[in-house]
Amino acid sequence: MSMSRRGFLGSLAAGAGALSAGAADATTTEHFEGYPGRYGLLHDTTLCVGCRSCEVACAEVNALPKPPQPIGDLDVFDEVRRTSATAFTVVNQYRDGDGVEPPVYRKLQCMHCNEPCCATVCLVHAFTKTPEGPILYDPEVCIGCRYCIMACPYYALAYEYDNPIDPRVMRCTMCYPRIKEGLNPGCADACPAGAITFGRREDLIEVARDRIRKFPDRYINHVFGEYEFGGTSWLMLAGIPFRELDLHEGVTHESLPAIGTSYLSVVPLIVTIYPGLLAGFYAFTKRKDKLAKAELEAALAEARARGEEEMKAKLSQAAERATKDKERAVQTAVTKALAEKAEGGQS
Amino acid sequence: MTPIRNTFLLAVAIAFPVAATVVAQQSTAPAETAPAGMILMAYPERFGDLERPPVVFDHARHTTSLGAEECTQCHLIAEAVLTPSFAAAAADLDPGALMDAFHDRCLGCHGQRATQGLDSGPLACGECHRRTNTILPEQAPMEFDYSLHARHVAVFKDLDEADQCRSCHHVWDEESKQLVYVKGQEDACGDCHLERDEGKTLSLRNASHIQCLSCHLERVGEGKQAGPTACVGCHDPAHREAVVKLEVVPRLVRGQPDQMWIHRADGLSRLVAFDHAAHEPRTDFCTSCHHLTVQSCGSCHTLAGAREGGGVTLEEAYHGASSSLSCVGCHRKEQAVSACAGCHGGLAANQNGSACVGCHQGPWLAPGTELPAAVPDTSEIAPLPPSSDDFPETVVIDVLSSTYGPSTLPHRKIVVRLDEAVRKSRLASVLHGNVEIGCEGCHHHSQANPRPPQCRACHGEAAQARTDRPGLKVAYHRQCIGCHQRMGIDKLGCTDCHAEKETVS
Amino acid sequence: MSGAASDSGHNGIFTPFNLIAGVILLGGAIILSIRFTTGLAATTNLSNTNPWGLWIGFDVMAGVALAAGGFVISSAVFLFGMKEYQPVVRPALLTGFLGYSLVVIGLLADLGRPWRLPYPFIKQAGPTSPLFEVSLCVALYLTVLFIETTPAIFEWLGLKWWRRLVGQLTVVLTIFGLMLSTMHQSTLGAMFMVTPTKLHPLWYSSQIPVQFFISAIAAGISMIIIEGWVSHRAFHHQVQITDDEFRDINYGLAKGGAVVLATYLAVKLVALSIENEWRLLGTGWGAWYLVELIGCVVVPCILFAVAHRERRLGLARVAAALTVIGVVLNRFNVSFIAFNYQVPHEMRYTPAWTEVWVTVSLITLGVVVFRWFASRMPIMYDHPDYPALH
Repeated sequence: MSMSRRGFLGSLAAGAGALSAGAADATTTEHFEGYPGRYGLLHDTTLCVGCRSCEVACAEVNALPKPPQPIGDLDVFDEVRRTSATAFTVVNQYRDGDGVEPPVYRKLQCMHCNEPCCATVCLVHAFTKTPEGPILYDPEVCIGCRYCIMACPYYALAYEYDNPIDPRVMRCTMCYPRIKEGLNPGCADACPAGAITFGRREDLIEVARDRIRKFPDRYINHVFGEYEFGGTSWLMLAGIPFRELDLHEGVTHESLPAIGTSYLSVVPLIVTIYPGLLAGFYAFTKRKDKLAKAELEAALAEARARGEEEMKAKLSQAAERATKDKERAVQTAVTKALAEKAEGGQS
Repeated sequence: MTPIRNTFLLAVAIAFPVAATVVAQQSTAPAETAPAGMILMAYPERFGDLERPPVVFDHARHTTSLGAEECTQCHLIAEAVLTPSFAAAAADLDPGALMDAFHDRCLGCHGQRATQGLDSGPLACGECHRRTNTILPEQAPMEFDYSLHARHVAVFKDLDEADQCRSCHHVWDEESKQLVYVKGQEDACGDCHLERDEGKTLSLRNASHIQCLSCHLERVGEGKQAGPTACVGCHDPAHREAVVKLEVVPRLVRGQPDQMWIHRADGLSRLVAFDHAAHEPRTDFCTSCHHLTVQSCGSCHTLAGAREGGGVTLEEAYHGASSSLSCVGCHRKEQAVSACAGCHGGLAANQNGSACVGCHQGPWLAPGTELPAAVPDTSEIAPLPPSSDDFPETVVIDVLSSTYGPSTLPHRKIVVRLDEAVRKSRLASVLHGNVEIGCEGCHHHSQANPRPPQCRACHGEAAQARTDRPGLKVAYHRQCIGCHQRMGIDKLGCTDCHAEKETVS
Repeated sequence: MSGAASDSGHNGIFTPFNLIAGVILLGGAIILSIRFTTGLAATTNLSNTNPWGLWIGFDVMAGVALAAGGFVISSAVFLFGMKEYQPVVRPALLTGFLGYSLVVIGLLADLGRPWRLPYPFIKQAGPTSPLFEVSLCVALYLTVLFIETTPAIFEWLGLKWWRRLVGQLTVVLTIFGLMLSTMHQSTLGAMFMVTPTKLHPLWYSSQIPVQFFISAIAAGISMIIIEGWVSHRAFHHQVQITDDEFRDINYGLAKGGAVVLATYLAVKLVALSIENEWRLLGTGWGAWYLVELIGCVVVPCILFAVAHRERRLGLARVAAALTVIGVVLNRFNVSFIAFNYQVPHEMRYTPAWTEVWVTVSLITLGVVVFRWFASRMPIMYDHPDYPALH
């Protein structure tokens, strides 16, 4: 695909402009709360019984292979699993039951952040945050650099490493096609304990706070995902500290894109300042060289001129001396001749 | 050559101390808790900031190795009374002299024993002031329950009435300038002996150590059976478990009524009948409820909340749900046992509006009217009705059956089991009052009488996110499995309630 | 043909170096063909938790840093007038060009769909991404380096008019190159600012972009010294400068290296202060950090200074080697050693031998191609027909 020079420069400028626009939040006073009415899911870990029906339903809805460990196989909880290229969601056990308190489980999947860092770091803009809430991935443009997987703080993304032809980034899609049809995501429908509630995010936050108010002994007084790193679409309630559920506690409310790309605001400055600055250095250097050369030449000319003068002086001195010598010789000869003549006349 | 060597040496000379200081700052070993019998000698109020780590003193080890006769090595014993603090640490010493007092005693003894070739303690600074592990001694507070009280009473029973109880239950008589016993005004030690010494009233720690230890030591010296003399005997939970508990504990009589009304003279609500005699065995000490001297709640907790009551209003003193001292708080703790938690664990914190009438069953009393006689509650709950259409024996739940077959709920069996638990508990019987209230454990947010609605009347298939009302499948599972979990019933697996359907191949 | 050919009596091409290089390159080619036919899983230890490994950590990140000598020396000579370094400009630019070419090849091996490499520019751009900025700058800079390498090629081919044309572009290209290098060297570090929970706090800092840029300058200077050491000996018959001049160049580079490393140390200490992380130095990770900082920044800084002062070439070379090791180590730490530091041990990443082999074969390829260029074209010397680039 050919591009005219103007087109190339134009896209360069557009890129620079977009870079500055994307990271210019620090200078505006506006605050985007997120698309209103967008959906979310509330995961109440105190209700999760670890049945993993959500894993089975997710595999069915997304045409993935069924989980190799069947429901009812409790050995699967011996290790802490993560999502993979064939499993968009897994349920892990984070605490054993001790006879008094029940065991604690949590479901892992893409959190569909409000300000997703995967979307920001993708250099082909393969991710889109939809107004409905889910983040979509476009495998048609993905080049497989895996920066998104690297950036995700929840370790939610996976890659088809064994696929040489069309490897894709694999992740929960919040069942976007189903949501558009007015259905619930597969996991929300499947959960028999109601540990997953699907609805509008703003409603779910109210529901979560209400549950905490009603059962203050059951819950930690915090809705995880409301503000962490800008907030996520998946909200969590728990009865044990979130740190024990492998979730980062106490992180900033600033979004990761804001943190991670604030540096890019310096790029337009470099592009605009460096050429003039460096050209200035070059000009300065050239001028210094020119002056040095001029000085050298002046010094050489002076040296030459002085040399010539000295030579002239020496020559004239020599000439004078020669003349004097000659005169003296002439005088001497004349005196001698006269003396001889005087002697000859007398005899 | 030389400049390079010098530079290198300089770099090393700088780098090493820096690195060493940095590394030395770390204290990576976590703090351990130590059993009772270890005493942390920090005296922050006298030493201020410490230069060295505080010494953790193994008192038990010292008493074991030195023997019970050697208490005078460190303690003052005057007229059979042992002062539990370190004798040489008099209150007027400045920090330097205080430190010297300890060093002289401890290191002096250690050194002496070392020269005699006996087992002795450390002599180097760092072996007592140990930096590596911060041991936080934890002394569980001593608890003196009715059983222990009765056993002590038995010891003193041969004395005169005036002296029997005086060692523990005394007031200061200004005229005779001594402690006297006043019958009917016995309180707990901690009611007067507080955290610190106040004038001549010793702190609870000092008072109890002097009083208890002196007596125990004396009896040990006389060869009689006595209580513990080592710290762990009273302050270590394991040791306390081993203390003999009387089978039948005689009732502590202090002029309290058997039945009484909880009321206020200005008649603000229906009277509450309170069976004091029935409540006594359910506590371990009077102070379980009478937490600051044995008075009525209203003496300190006023309607508006007075300073003596710590700002806690009278209503809160009776009804505070999270307090272990209030009626409602203690009842809620009882509700948390597995027999009751099936229903009560699933209810929100303040969901029961109808709970008031369970206690407030007495009559309205106009101000000035005489109180009626308080009689014990002998009412009984009506028995369960026979099975009928209104109260079925079993219920087949097959509305949502897809992956799994229908579930047959043993309706009557469940109700009977819960009903038996209620009848076994006096608290539950009185506060429930009737059998219908039990229906509301499952048939919630609805009228129990005569026939409660079915679950699917209110729970549609889809959840209602906004009102947090779960869908029907979730309603079934959360209700049933939640109750099983809270009651410790091992029917938590899918096939425990419904068989898996044969999949059509 | 190549340098030390006919002494051994073998056919000129089968020298020991060529044989070893050939084996390495053949192995690399085989591994890469497996990679392209069966996917990344077969030839790497990459996982979903560790999507970036040795090929990104060394081939891309360390490679870009080590190829920084080009912009450093060309700026010094053409913009700041340090004409005494002119003899090392062409080798440095060639190292840069080959280095960046190998970065691209390494990247092609690592990308899931390498044939889509131009997509950010031709299909759909994601301009919010630091990686977009890196790829754009690297693509442009590679072009710049290529054009800066063409004078030697044109001289070799005798294309005078072309040679004059590209000669006139020198200053503009140098300015452009320094600008692009500032951006992408620092943004390679800035790429990790989006992972504050995954990168160990001693390495994660708001100052990462500055640290990466300055360490790249130090790496570039050190690579010029090392590359000069090898090629000065291998192409000694071509070299026109005297031994003293060569040494003086190295001492000057050493002085520059000392100053840059001292600046880098200061930036690192400032970063520690800003985040107030001094107590972390007492941990195990802190010890590892100090190894990198003291062993590969402080020590070479001192050695460079001493080498310059005492005029000791061997010491300068040792310092250069330590600096290169340090920069590589720093890139490794940021990309996979101190990255994911909280992940349980069994899920951590270690490079597979196939990844190491491919990396080594790329380095070998670079050396071989450098040798091909330098033995034919006026890299190590000035062509008599053309004025030295001013």
